[in-house]
Amino acid sequence: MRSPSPRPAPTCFRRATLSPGRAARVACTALILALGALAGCASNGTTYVVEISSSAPTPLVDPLPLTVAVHYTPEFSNYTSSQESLNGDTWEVSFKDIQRNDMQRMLESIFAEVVVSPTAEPADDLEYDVLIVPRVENFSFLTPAESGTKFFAVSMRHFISFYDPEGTDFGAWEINSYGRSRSYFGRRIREMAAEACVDAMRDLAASVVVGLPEEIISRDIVDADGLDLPGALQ
Amino acid sequence: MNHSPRGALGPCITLATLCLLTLGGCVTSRIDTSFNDSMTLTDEASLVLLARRQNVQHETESGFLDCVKEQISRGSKGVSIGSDREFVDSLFPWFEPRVAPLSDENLPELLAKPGVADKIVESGVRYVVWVDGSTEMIDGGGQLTCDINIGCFGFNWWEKGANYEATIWDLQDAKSMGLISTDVSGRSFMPAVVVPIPLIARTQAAACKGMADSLKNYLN
Repeated sequence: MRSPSPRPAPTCFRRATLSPGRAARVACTALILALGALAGCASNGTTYVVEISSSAPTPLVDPLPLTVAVHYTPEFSNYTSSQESLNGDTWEVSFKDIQRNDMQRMLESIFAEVVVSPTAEPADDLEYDVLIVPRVENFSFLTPAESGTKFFAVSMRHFISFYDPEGTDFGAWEINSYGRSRSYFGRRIREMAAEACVDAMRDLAASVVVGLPEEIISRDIVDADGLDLPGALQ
Repeated sequence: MNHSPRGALGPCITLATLCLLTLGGCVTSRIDTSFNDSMTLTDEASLVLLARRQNVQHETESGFLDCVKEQISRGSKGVSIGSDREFVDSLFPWFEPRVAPLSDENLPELLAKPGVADKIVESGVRYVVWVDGSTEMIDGGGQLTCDINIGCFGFNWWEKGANYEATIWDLQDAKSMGLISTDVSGRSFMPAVVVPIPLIARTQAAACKGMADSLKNYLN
């Protein structure tokens, strides 16, 4: 039985009669255009906020018999980074207090005693062998699209300045650390970015544990006699 | 009741597609092993698989490591694999990419570090299998054109190489046990007549199975 013909609609609202095949093609085209628009929205001008929530494990080392004072600047304690990637996305990375806590925990594992100094100047009420002041010089990362690889990569440059109890400047140690996410497929991009940051923090911690005692000794800030340094294996 | 020809053709097309999918591409593999001794695993002594992460150009895929672990622990000769994350964390920073020994010659020095030997005994890990390598695209070609009105036509192919190396260290005796290297290449094809039919060469899976089987052969 044939259905009656529909009443003609006004020209401007006339419904196009589509065959099933053509309807499917139109639907597919619309879907592709919609997905393309969504993809465009997702990759241009989006602000990603990455919060670092984990940290390096406690190191397996014997503490050296030294007292180290450390001064944390507000910039180091609450470090945040904002960087724009090539496609126009903004990446805001917040370390909150992870960076300071990690540094404190590493120092407490490496040295017998660690005191926090409120200033970078010699303080009469603090007794220590060496005063250190860590700072972040540079933080940068590459998205998988930028690097042409399957992972996020993060690089950080830190400096640790050394002072003896009299306030003599013994220079600064440059630490370059590197981190990257594990895998690409099926992962949320923000999760990968956080993973790369944590990896870089872990690399920094490993550098500090192995290299900081050597730096203090090599600068003749303290007497090295009887000190058993952790030392690198490579 | 009449069936349309299109309705009868549907199951046939599905069946043909499934058959083609099971064929897959071509894989050639070469597995080389060099072992000094067999590995003895007990309830108290296990092994861990760790990815070498010193190379900035490539990263051993976590999926490959998971595959090797699964293959080793499968079957009647299956062995338990320790958690790599727990192992590396408990020995921080001595197995970090920046610090980890690159050669078995550094093992005595590592084990002499304060607390390291005790922590390894406590972990129950006797053997460390360092896995390095990756699966990369080597070559490719062909042309495939798709049109929303008429479908896809053409032919595409690509070749992947899965090159991995596993170095096995005995932490108890501080020595190298052996080496396994896999050199697998696989060519995948995608012919398309209206519908593209991918014939995928399971290159990485072949490398994984080759490495896991070789490891199991040296496990007691």
